[in-house]
Amino acid sequence: MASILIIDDEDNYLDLCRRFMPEHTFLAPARNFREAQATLKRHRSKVDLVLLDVHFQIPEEDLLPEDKAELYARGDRERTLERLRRTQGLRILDRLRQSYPDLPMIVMTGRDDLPLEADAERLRAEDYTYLLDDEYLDARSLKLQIDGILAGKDEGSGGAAEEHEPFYWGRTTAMLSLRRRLTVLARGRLPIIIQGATGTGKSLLAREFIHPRSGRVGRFVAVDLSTIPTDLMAAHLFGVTKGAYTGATSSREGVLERAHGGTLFLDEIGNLSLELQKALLLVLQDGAYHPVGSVKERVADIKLVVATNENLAAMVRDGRFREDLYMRLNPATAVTLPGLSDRRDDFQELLTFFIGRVASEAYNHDLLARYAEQRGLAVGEGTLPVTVGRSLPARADPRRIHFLLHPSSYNLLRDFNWTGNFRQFEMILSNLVTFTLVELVERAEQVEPEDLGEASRADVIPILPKTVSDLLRPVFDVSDDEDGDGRCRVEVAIEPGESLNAVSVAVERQYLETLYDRTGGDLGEMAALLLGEPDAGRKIQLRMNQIGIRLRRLRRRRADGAGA
Amino acid sequence: MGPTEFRERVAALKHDLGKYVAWMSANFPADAWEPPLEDAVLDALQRDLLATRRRADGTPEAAWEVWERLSGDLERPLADELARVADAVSALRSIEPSLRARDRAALADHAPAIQEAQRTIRDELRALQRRLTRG
Repeated sequence: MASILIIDDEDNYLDLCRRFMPEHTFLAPARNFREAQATLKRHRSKVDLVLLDVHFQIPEEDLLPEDKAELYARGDRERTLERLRRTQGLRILDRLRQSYPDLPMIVMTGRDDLPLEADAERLRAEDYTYLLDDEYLDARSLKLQIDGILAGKDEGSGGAAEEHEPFYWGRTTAMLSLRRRLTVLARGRLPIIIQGATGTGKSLLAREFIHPRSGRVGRFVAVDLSTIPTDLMAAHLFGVTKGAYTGATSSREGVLERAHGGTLFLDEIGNLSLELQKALLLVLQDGAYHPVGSVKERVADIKLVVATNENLAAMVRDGRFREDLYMRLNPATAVTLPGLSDRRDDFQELLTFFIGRVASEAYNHDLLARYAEQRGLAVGEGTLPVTVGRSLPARADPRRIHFLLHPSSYNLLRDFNWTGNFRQFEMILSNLVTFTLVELVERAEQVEPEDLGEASRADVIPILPKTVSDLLRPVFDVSDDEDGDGRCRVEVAIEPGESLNAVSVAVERQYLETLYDRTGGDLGEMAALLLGEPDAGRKIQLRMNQIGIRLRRLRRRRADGAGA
Repeated sequence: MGPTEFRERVAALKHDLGKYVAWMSANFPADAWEPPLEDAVLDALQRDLLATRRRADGTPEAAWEVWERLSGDLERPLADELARVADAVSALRSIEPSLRARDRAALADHAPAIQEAQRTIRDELRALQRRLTRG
């Protein structure tokens, strides 16, 4: 049974469908664009299909476009209105497509009835838009068409292998809808704007989802515009010819050339100077550009994906972003990625996906292989599949490894305020896997999982609750309550490392050293702050030793500082 | 009336008359038309022929009224296709009393002629539109 919205100014379709297709649910019909928009806003997740009439005999004020002055200026007002009414469905379609690019819609007209051949071609080329095979509607053929579309939709949303790939999507309707939307946008030639807070997966989506689905054979090239000095940005984007400026000792290709035929991902597009915005606009308009210092025009055939965590529309209003470029970037279809804390319904899917990713990192992969060897698991040529969850798999399986989280740890991870979103999540999971495996592998003889009693299951690796809370606690509690909100902040400098673990350890080193200074070198106070155990100073000392912090050096530094 | 306007008029006829003259009734299987005529078919016929369209004030507009509205000012003689449509509309109009009276027996007797007239209207309007569109 499907839920179908009919957009029609009369009850003809509704009556026909209810009589001859009683197996489906038909929502209250929308009589014009405004009502259709309101219904979809409220019930988009419930609507499987839209039936859209073309002829709307409705009052002038309900007709699209809202501003008809230009149309009236071209000729007879009454005739213009009549034409608007007889083609209104196509205008409604265009408008709805801006918000719902992947919503299946049957335009209730045949090819012959479309006012222009161009409309027929356009509609036939559009994904998710269908015309009737015969303009004289027959309930049976309409039913077949609806059932065919719905079957295809089900297959597409639940049956295809790629839909089951864990990736990033989870299983909530909102995310599956976003996925379908991005699938459509990826195939099109227009640019895509991805918005979202830091760490929400913007570059991940561009690289691992949009580019592979774009059908383009060229490379994926990503540029973070926030990391490129302003004066070098033009050369970086467009390339430079030898001698173009002092220091340009050789010609160098830009990212536009490298991405030719492929996808160019410009992260932090808001950092682009107004001058370069104009140059990028010309690329989008004409598909051509000039490298710095060159008069020779180059062709750029790129799928452009831009990302930002700024409000581009607001930047346009403030004069910091060119309106013409903004409009060229296809803002009507901009997608906004939710943060991890907004995706608790998908938490298990995301946990599985990211555990799989961190388990395949080189260091963790080696640790897993060593663990598997120690425990006699069936390590083949590749990597053992990894699963994760708060419950024990019913049957032992030597061909995979299951990370078992205590329910309280699972809840802690799920409910945590992930301000750094997936980047932070992945880092913490990487640490969890590393610390857990190091413990198991290096002290294989002493493994005594606390309270879980799964030691006999070689295929199950319990993650100790303490490991989880230890990793999350510093993020909670490293504070001087500078902001009076019960927390305070430690600034850390993040630099690229050879692995996430290395980056994480570097960060941990910084905050432990900062904390050491703030507590005056009092390990007991640090233990109270971090573990809630003032007597656990020894643990802090061990941890600091473990990650390469030398207390003697810190003491000397403190003494030098006091003496200075 | 210029060619563009004529084409638009034919499109309107095809939509308002051709599309709706058999909107519900064309979907019933052959045995539903056997006497005694089923209520559902009778309802569908009344709707398709006596209330083919609705005016702005909500009052029903019968098939022959739709035809008159959209063809009344067309130049005579009508194009061949439209002449055949006119005949078919007349045939339908002849059963108006039976329809209004819900005379099942008479309507069952006329069922083949009704269906034939509906088909003619649809086919001829479609053919004319295609001829005009494809020059």
